[in-house]
Amino acid sequence: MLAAIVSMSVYPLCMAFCMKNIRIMNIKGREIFLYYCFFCVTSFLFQHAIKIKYLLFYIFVFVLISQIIIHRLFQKAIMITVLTCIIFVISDTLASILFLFVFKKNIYSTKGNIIAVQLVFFSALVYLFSWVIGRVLENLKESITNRKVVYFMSFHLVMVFSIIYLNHVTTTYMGTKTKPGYVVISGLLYTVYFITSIILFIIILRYLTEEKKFKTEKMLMDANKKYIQEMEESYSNLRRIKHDYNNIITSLKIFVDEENMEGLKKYFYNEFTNLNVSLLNQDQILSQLYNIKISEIKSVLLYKSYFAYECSLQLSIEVRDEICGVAISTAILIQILGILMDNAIEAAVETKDKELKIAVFRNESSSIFIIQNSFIPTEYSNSQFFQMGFSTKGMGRGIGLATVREYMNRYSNLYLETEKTNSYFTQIMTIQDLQLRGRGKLA
Amino acid sequence: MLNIYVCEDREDQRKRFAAIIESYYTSNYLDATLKLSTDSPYELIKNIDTENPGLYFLDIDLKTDINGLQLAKEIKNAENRSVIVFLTAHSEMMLLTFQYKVEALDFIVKDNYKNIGERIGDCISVAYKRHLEQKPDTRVFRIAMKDTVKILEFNDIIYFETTSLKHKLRVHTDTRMLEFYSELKKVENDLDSRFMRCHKSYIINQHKIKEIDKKNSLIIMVNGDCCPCSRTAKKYLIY
Repeated sequence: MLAAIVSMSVYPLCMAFCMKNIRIMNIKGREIFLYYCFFCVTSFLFQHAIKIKYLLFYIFVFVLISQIIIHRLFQKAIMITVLTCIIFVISDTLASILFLFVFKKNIYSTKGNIIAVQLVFFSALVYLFSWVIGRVLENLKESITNRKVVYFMSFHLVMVFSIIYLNHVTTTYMGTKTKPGYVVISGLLYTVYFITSIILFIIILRYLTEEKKFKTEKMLMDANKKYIQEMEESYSNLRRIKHDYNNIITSLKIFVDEENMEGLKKYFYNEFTNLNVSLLNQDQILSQLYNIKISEIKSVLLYKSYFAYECSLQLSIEVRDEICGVAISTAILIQILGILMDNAIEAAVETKDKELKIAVFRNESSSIFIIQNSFIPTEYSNSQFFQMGFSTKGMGRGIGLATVREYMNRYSNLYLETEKTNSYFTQIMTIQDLQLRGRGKLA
Repeated sequence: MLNIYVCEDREDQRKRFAAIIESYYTSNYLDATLKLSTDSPYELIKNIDTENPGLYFLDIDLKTDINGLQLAKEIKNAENRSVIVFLTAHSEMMLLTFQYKVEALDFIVKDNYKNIGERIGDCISVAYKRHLEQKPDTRVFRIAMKDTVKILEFNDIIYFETTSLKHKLRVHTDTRMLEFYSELKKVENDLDSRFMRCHKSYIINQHKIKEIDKKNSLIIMVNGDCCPCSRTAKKYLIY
């Protein structure tokens, strides 16, 4: 009876911290209390529930169903249940083996103190395993609900139950539990289970890491694609400018050749006023951008500035120091700059002042990019701008800043500051150099 | 009393600015004074009041061995809350860059005669407002980045949160949102009692709570952002 009470209180407790440690889902105190009550009831109703193999069955049925009902996350519920089962089985087996070796006593004694000691072993092991698994899975949280992984886990679960069933069959066949042969067979079965579990876990882990690597690569590829697009557009713009220049020079030449002063005058005053202002301001931009030695970044800034001019914005660019390299993939930096510039231009166009200011400079061990635009004050907070799907322009937009946020959450040497005053919106991006920092890690 | 300083190498300009400044604060009955008007940055450095933040109008090109930017840095080192306004002859200087580096309040382009008085007046009124708001207990939170130190007043901070990157935190103030390298535990030690760890990954300023959503355990801050709230914190907040 004592054993029953002790187990009754220990098992739900173990389960609670096990599920909390795995950290796939946010388990609340209320749920844990619910499980606790459930185990108390089952332990009283069915004495055998305190034994691990039956307990597993209850965990599986009850926890799975309750998790699905409460959180409505089917795949996560399966994952957390299966992991809990695995940890319980492994811990129980190891605890029995340890107990056998350390105390040289039969584990199937019903004496309260022996069971209590074994339970201490058991809970310590559960805690250890769940902590380790939680740590390992922390980085792979997003891909944990992958369908293939869930299949793997379900297969594993079937294995657990078949082994338990086999064990049950052998027990009935052999008669009493105290025979040494039983210990050998059950030990063997659980060892097999233990080894296959580890192999399965390694396979899943490897699969997940590869999946993650693949995702990172895909992200880089997408950034590259975007970059090529931007380059193409900027190139076609440059060609247009060249074309404009050529046209003007040619027509001027015709007038000069004919010594047609009247025509020249007329052409000059009519055509030059219609000529895009940007042509005249190209100089200022180009001379400032000269300091940026990374051609990809130069071209994206040039292209976006040209675009800003076409929107008739008051643009100023300051590049005080030479920028020779940044500690981040250029493809990603271009994407971020493109998004920030697009947003700034979009917001500035709507204002009266139509201002856009860009500053790029270096500190001792970091490069700073500042983009400031005039903007109409809004009620929204800074962080709302960065939420997926948020946009002041209605649905279906607002992916840009969410993407920027994603990159900020991925690279530890990127820092973004956002400032919003009544008339200006400023984004300040700091890229810290990696060598000097010594601990920056990519992805 | 708000102390105003002017450092400008050309005498005619200096007198003109002094006249504009004096007429502004006398006509608006502000408790301010033009403490020093000089052409020598060294004289100015000697006269910095390290106890009270002042308002400094500095020419960028001072025709001596230190320029306005370095002078501004000296002033900021001596008294961090000082307000700095640059006077410059050429508009194509690196305005945004300077503004960021010394957190200057404004840039006044000297050849723009039309609105110069108005701009100076605006600067004085902003500095005066800040001066009035300054209470002796204005405590600040320092963020040491690799190359710079950013300073946030406790009064302005709304909340801190963790990001999905380890050791990268994000702080939200009334106007700014910035990321930095630290840990919530360390941050917690630098704050005072108005701040509270309401969740394992959030620290909030209790003065900035707008409402508490009891049902969903959310704390809604003055800027509309939501912070999750742990059970113990909820108990504490609701009593």
